[in-house]
Amino acid sequence: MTNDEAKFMLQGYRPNGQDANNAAFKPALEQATLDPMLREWFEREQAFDAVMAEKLKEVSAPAGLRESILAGTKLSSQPETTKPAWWRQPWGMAMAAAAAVVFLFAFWSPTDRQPIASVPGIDAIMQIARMDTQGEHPGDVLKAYQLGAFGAWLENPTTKLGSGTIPPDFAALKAEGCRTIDIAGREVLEICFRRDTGWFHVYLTPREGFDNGSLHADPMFQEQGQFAAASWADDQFVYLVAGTTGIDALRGLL
Amino acid sequence: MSNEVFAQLVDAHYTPLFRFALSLARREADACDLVQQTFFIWAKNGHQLREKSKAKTWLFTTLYREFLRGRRRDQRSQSIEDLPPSAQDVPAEDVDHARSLDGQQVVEALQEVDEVFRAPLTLFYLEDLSYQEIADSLDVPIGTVMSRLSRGKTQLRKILARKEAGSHQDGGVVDFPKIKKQGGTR
Repeated sequence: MTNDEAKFMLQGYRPNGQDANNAAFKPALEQATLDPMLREWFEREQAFDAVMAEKLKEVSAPAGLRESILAGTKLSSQPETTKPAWWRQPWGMAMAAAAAVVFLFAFWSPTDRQPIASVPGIDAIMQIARMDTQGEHPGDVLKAYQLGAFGAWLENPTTKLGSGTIPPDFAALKAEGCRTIDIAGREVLEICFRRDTGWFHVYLTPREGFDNGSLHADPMFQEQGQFAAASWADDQFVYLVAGTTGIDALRGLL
Repeated sequence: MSNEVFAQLVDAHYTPLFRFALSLARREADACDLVQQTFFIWAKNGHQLREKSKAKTWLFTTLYREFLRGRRRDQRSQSIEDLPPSAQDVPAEDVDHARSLDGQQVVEALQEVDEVFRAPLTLFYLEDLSYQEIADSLDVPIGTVMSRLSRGKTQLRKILARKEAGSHQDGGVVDFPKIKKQGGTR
């Protein structure tokens, strides 16, 4: 083994000593003990690497990252052969709730209308979006049309959601089994539906309690990558619809 | 995997994963996204891993793949990798200069290293993975890892020397988070 070959090998030797028992390094280490110049080079290299490793370890993960990871995956860490749709699992509901909160907040708070990426809690939304676009949509999802006339209206490809042709009967939808989410005491109803362009999620909640001046009859859009959402309000409800197939697909619904 | 075991897995690896992600993505928010996404994928697919002892390598591999998936590979990186190997040694003063840096400055310097070298170099300095495991994580031959480590270190020294000389100009790095001393969070 030449010194150049030994150097090539030894610069992969971790300075914390974890490679001490790795037989692959043995010839190069022996060479370093025999050759003073190689040994000197190795000592300098190790000293430099040790300092860099030590400095890198000074970097801490942001506060809250661990909790966010655990909260987001807590109940999804167990593989299931008949796994329900993610939004029907508790963690998915929590994330969906977070999505609704973030968007309602982002859209209707005039002082906090900002790009999605900078809204607190957006990490959860982005994870939802990415999971949705990564995997196949679960097949055991309760279809929107199973929720009654309003669900069928949602899935009708000719329906323009912003038209308000069929106002939802909030109480009836709940009675039919549609999921509701409690967001800071406000009851938000969520329905998942499918169109040719993909899956979408619509959230609606009575407009009571909202600042009327911050609500908009015309849809307001937000997007980040393929994740897109639109919100608007009519006389009775505030709506938000979101999907992960891009802003154009979302506009096609409205 | 129970919630408790999963929490142990997160505790053991989320910080080094974040450091690795930060060196790749450069922005704290993007790094957090990568780490979260990695654990989401574990929650979804991790049970398919037969050898649980390889969870660490799996996590770093997955994070790196997610990073690559998020953007197109840089053509320039390939051309740099084609350059002949460097035999540059470490001058003694480099070590002294390195000691004078803080964690933030080191990560900023790492972030300036070309990405193709940055990934193995950061994994090496994290010291969690052997060079064989780094090769597995990055899906490259062992010799390539060694070669990239060599070139990466050369680049890093040049960057540090330039910073020391005061010729470094900001602009390539944004939104770097505040660095806390180890043990400051969790």
